[in-house]
Amino acid sequence: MSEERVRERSEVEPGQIVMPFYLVCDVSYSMYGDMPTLNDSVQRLRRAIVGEPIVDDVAQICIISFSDSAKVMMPLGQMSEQAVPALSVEGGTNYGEAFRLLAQTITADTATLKSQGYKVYRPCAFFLSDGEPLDHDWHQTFTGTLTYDRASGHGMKGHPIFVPFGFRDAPEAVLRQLAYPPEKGKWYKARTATVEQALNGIIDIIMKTVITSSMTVPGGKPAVVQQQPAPGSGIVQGDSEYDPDWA
Amino acid sequence: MSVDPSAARGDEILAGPRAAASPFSIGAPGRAAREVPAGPPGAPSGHADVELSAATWAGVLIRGATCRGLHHRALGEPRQDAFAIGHRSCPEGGDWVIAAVCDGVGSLRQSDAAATLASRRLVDLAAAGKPWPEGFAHVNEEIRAAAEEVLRGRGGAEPGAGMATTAVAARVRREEGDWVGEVAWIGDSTLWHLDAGSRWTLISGLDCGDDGDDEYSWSRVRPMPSADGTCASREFRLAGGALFLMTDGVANPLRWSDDVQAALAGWWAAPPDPFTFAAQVAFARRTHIDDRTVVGLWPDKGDLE
Repeated sequence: MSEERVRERSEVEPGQIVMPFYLVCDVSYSMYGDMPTLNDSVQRLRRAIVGEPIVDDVAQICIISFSDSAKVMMPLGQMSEQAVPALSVEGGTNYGEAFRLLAQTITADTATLKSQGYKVYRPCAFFLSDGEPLDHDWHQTFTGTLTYDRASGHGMKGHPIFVPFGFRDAPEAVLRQLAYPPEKGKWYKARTATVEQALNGIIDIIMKTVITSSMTVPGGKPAVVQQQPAPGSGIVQGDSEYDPDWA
Repeated sequence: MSVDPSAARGDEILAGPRAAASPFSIGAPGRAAREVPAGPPGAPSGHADVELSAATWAGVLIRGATCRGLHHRALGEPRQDAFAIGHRSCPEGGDWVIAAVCDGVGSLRQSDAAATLASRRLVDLAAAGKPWPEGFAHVNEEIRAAAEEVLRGRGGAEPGAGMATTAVAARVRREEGDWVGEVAWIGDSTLWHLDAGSRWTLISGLDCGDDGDDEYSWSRVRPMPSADGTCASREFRLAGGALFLMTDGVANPLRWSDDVQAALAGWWAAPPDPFTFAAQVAFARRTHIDDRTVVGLWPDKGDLE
């Protein structure tokens, strides 16, 4: 049998299942000394997903970076079919730019996948930041772009499950507001001695969440299963305290 | 759904000797089919990865196969699908083929036992003359009792202890070249008719909500044991073709893909040998790695087949 016959077909095949994950990384100035660690951590995440064929078949990953502005560094796709780009440090810490781009990207990706006949499950967005938002209206932007008010029908009906991870100067009060939706959202804060420890612990949680969640799909009960921090990792986890009227 | 069986694709998969996927695929098999190894012997001992049956009765040629999915294989868990086949002869009502297909609910650890119990008891009760609503209600209570026993026993302390299953069951006979019968179901296991024009028609209902909320897909199934033990049911009379009871491991890709409809219509326009049938039931398709079970019923044309 020739290799040609068994190579994966690249054309879209309707009915295939996709669980999308978005990794949104802070690349502001304060991350200057930590970019090698961040890049190594993302590569480790890639290796873990590629090492699990079932997960790699089901999960699609997108990487977004943000500072003063935000950009899609790796479009949504199968991890084994993409090279992970190196992230590099840029400007300030504008959360709103990340929220806006994430909402636009999810909306566009979902529409494309559905038009191709894929069965798409609700996305999960992992948001990593080491600092306080410099845009004072970040909460208003978050509510306006990535949340949904079921009673009024306003907002993003196709919102992701938004999972904030903070380290260094990222305020816990902010993280508590970003965990969404309120009934199942979790936030994480690393209180570790070093950023390297923090990023290693955070990527471990993301890795386990992607793998465990993707493995729920074939069993017929797809769910984003947010993982507990490892004991001794120095990372704490809490429930969402999202309040649309928070000021 | 009308399909062109000439569009069927049944490529063989190049998988190493440590893998255990079917050699049949429809479309891209996915990395899982090529790379997930057979793995260690699973518990409970004696619970086979694949079971298959072949039978003929009263003008009906029967093939049944249930196959462990790659998902359960990767997790070291047993197959949670099951099927059973039986028959009934009654002087006033003719000869009937009886079949049931069940899909254990994956989130509960003992659901393989629920699927086995439900499929066998539904067929036994129907063979003894019980109407489907009574049979389903009876089996509902038997599964409830078995689940309670698990929870009372040592297994009750384990996370995910318990059992539940979907079920579709049918009694069928041939009458003047037609299929005549009654199908009953709970959950998302289904009965399909493949007609002579290669068109697939869902005969049972689909007791689930897996088409989502207009934004994303999701899945919700009502299994048994349920609060009231009721099932949905309908009588049917269908001309020509073949009938297939199946779990959602096959029915979902069938519903969602013209390629799958075409391939299965091509493969099953006539009854394959039982071993080929089992391998076809387990066809590889990227992201579709659940357990698979199908009971197929074709007209028995005797030695001319």
